[in-house]
Amino acid sequence: MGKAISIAKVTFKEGIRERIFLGVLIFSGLLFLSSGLLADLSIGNILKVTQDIGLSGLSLLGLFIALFLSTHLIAKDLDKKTIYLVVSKPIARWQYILGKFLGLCFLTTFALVLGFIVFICALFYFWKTSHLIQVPHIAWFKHLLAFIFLNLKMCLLVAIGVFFSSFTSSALVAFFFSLLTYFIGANLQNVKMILASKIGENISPILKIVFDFTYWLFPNLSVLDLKQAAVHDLPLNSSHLGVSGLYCLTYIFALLFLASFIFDKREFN
Amino acid sequence: MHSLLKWELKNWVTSPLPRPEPALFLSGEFALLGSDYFLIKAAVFYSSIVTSSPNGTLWFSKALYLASYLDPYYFEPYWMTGVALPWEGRVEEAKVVLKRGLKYLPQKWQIPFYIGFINFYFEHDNKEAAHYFSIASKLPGAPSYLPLLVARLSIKGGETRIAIAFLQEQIKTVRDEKLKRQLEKRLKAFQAIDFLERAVRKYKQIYGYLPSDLNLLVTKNIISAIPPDPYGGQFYLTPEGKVWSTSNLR
Repeated sequence: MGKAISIAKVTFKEGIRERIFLGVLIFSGLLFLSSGLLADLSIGNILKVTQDIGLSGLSLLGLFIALFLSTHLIAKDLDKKTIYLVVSKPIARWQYILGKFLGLCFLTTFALVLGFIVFICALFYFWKTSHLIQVPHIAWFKHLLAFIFLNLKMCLLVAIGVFFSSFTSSALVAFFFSLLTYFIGANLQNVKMILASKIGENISPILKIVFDFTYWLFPNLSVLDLKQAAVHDLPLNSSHLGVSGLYCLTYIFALLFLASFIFDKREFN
Repeated sequence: MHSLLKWELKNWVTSPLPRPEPALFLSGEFALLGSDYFLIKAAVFYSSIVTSSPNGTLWFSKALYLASYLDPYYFEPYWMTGVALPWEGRVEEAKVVLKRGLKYLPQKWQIPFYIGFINFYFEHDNKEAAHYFSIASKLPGAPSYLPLLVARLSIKGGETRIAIAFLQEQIKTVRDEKLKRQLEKRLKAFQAIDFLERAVRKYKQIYGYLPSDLNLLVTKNIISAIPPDPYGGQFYLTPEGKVWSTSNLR
């Protein structure tokens, strides 16, 4: 485990030095600070729009760092042959995979924590200075919960990125597969809802079987998305949250196990 | 505003809208932002229209449906639907959006209130209106006059007064200046109608029959002048003794 932590530290430092990391962070900071001004374009409860921009901006920030850096940093090791320095040492390949995963999770969490602090400060400022006739109640605790689950989701995306990087040779291919998995995972619930509606009656049974298979194979990312519950202060079920958290951790474990297995069999030229 | 900028704004606002289901699918976890975006477009459209065309109002109703579909717990699209859409001649579309809102926001008194108002004012269905007003009156925050309104529905007439009360209630909560001006313009028109209808009743009390023309109210010194219609039309008297305008208040 100590060796994996060492790799995690190196990955974290390497990620911090990436220009793209700083760029995304600055862009998100500016977005959160200006969210109140953008929200002013809307009508009625403009604080709702501020929260939407902030939470969606955090998602975008995490998504970019988790998917881009997870596929980019492993591919960079392979491309620049620095992987030889690692595999020639008494480090098991699963330790390398775990180290990379942990380092990338620290990095994503670090960026998200920074973003969340800026967002919450900006939201608090806009809330206190709001000129609304009825200043809406803001569910601060649910925002924190939404943030924790967003972090979990990003760790799952990092695991997806690491998994695809374990057998593809190009960062672009791994990124594309990860993005596709994210897109499917984020929409499973929506598609299920559409299929359950009147539109679903006209869809062929074969397509429904394909969907059922997809539903069980791909991670259902919407169960980790608490944005709507936080913004509208919707009731949350603690056992449902517990199951969702466990589901996410199981998925991460399975992906890392598979990635380690594949990476172990991989030959480097 | 510069004409080119106006043209750009108009094109941006009324650009074709996606169907709700693909929009939900494509926006994924960013559906809340999608809802905000379409509501902003609808609000810009509504506050910048001078005269409404059938295509424009259809686009407006679709934009509001889309905003409510992408985030069904967001109250503002329902609010805008209730306040603006029926007046633009989109009564059925407004009812579809609002009835969906009842499912997601059952604690908001405004939603059954808007449906009741549509039933009462636009569809003249007092029974349905009383049903929805009665639902609204039992919800938290509902105005104290709602039970009285339910009682008044059994009395024929009084639509103009209720429309005035409805608009005054909405103006109190509007923050957007342009939108407020639109509602105030409508309120002004209804106040003029109310003024003329009271004068018509007075005329009938004196002469025992309705005036053949609104100008008679001036010539018989019941009022000093016929107030102008803020929408640019001419007020006239219907055979039932009600006052309306050639502009249809649009």
